[in-house]
Amino acid sequence: MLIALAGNPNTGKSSLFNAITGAHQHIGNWPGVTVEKKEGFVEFEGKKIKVVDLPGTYSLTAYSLEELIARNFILEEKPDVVIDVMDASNLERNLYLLTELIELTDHIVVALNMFDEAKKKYKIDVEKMSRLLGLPVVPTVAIKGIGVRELLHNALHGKFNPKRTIYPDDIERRIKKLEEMLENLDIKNKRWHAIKLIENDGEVRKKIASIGGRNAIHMAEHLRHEIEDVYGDDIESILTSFRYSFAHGLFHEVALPLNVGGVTITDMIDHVVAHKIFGLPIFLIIMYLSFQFVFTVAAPFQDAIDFIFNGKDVAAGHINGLIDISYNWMVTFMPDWLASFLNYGMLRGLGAVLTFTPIIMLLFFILSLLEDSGYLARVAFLMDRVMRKIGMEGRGVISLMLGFGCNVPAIMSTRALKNDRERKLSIALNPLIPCGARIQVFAFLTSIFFKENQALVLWSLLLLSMLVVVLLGYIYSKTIFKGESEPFVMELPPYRVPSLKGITIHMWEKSEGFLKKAGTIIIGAAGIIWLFAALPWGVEFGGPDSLIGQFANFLAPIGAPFGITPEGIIALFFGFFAKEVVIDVFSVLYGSKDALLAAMTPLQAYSLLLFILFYTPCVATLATIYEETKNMKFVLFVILEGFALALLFSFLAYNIGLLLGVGI
Amino acid sequence: MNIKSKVLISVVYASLLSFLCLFIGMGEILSFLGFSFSNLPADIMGGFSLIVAASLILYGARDTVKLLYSGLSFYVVGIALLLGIGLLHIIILLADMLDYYILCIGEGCEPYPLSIRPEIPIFFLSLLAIYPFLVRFKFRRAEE
Repeated sequence: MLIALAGNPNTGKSSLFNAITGAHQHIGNWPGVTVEKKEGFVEFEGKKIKVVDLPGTYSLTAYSLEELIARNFILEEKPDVVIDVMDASNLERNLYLLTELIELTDHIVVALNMFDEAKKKYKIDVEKMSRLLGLPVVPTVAIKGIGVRELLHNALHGKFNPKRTIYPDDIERRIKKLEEMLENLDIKNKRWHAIKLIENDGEVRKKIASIGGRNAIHMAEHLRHEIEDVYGDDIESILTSFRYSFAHGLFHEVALPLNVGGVTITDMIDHVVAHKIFGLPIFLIIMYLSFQFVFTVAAPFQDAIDFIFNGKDVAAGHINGLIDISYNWMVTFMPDWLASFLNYGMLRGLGAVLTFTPIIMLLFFILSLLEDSGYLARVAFLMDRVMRKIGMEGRGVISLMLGFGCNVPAIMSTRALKNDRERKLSIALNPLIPCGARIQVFAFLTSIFFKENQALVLWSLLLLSMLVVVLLGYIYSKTIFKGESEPFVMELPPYRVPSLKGITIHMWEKSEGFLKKAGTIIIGAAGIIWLFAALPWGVEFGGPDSLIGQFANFLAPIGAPFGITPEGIIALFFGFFAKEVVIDVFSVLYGSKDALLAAMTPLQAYSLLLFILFYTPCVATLATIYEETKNMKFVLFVILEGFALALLFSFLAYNIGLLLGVGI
Repeated sequence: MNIKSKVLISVVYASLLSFLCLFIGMGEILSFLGFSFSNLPADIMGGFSLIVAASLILYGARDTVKLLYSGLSFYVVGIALLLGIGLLHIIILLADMLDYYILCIGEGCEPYPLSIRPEIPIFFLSLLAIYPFLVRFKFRRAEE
């Protein structure tokens, strides 16, 4: 059996080597270089073990001879176990090397050396560290020989299921792509080679080139530039920062500092924003202030777009907007109904949706700002603390948070959850998180009905959705989704001032889908709704005799107990296909904000908002849930769950409001 | 004057500012709940934000005076929140002004009726309380 000792310099590695091998040592040089190579032998539990002391390194890049020797030995000689010797009194710094070792091999035992010194600085939860890393962790004091037998015992019999650094989705996607390109080459550990190629590691480039992988090298260059463009930094700094985030997050989870020296700004902020009392109020405030920023700054742009499309009534008459101008022009060479369909149907639908583009762009701007600055990771950390109580950890929380963008990728991201119970729990709760499209509908209705308290109303909806997720998650975890949760390290990147370029690219990536949708499905839906409102020909547009009017009359009794108008029911019906279409329905049917304002009271609007918050997710989300679970009953469960909550909250809000005389 | 005395002055100043914020914050909440309160804006979450920021400063004040990081962390985040809230209201004021003139297109409007929320002067007043952050390297851990 072969064991390699790796670790930072001055971690007591040599002392540990001596403690393990005693007098059975051989000291020489690594082949071709003058770096000292120490080998020794020990017999333990009937097995003869060869121990190699690797040179001390802080990382496994290809910058120094020591680093190259250490990583090549692990790659080429494939030791049965690597013992990562850490100076436990400098735990966070030492964890970085571990994040690199984990990318290289599965069989690692962590030796928390100098543990006696470390105890003066931190309270370390060794058992939790082992659980979170998925590796054996053994406290040692090498110079006194403490923990050596346990270390060897774990090297022989330990369970190795390491948790690797997970890079953000866009980086992981690119690593995977390159990994697939390396499939045909004769190399082991393709993921590590893919990461190193993207990282522009000279040694790995040479190796890949020598075995005919030039295409992979070109692809890696291309992928590297893409990542650098998005994150606005060089690749090494980007990947290093994610490894440090993992180390920082793990350190926060397992070590309670008692008396360490310098404090960074990140430490100071984390001390407060992750505080068990102040953390949550600060998060609520940041969320509220973000919404207030979004709505207020978007308002002038929205009004400008609205003016461009719809014109306005002024004392001197009416200033024509794009829709009127286009209609007046088209009617000169095409039938009136067609000009009306194209302009008052499709163009008005597009205009209504585009009016909300500034809100969506600013919302994604703020989200990107919070994400790139490092704050969103703290929110996940805070949420994680709450969600642990309902038996969901780490990646499940991250999947839920992705739901604020779009439920489809959020549900797909639950694939990363190895625990089936946690995966199903996350999928069942995900549709209750309002996606970007629902938030857009909220923005539309709140801007009309709650002009003064727009941010507050939206904030209340999001808060309610989170409370429901926590409460329902708790109930599910005690009933239908019982079981243990998968341990996971929440990454905590250091705070940084995000680059404007990075935020803009992230904002664009997130908004792109919405704009594409606006240009296709939403215009199409507006046309269909216009037709339903205009047919059969000759009836009053959207009146009781039109198709949509008849449909509304049929549905009217269903909405009455919840204060939802027949038009609202129609909007909910079309919203099943894509939530943004709700805006289309109201815009086409009412034509103007004033007409919509006259059709509903603020209480009715709030009841409708609550219904939209919870009722069935869109068809794309349901299809994804089916794809991920292959279980139609589960899909039905999600639909029923949504409707039950929508009916409950809508009914309560409307009827309590009526009783109190609020918003009527 | 040594650093400790300067920090003490800053903390006393910030504490007085915090009490003012607590007062304004409660006023904004009461206004939202329908009580007429010296023309303060009716903004429940705006008021809550001021109260939390002020509480953070007051919570950290004692340890900040002792030059301990445990206090400075709260003090700094509290001041940062006040600065953030103030900055946001400055941006909101500018956006509101722009919106007003966009809505005026085609009509003869009066000049923008400027009304300054208390959070804006608080922003500038908070800037004067950042001294402890600037000398943070002189601070130490609580247990030392």
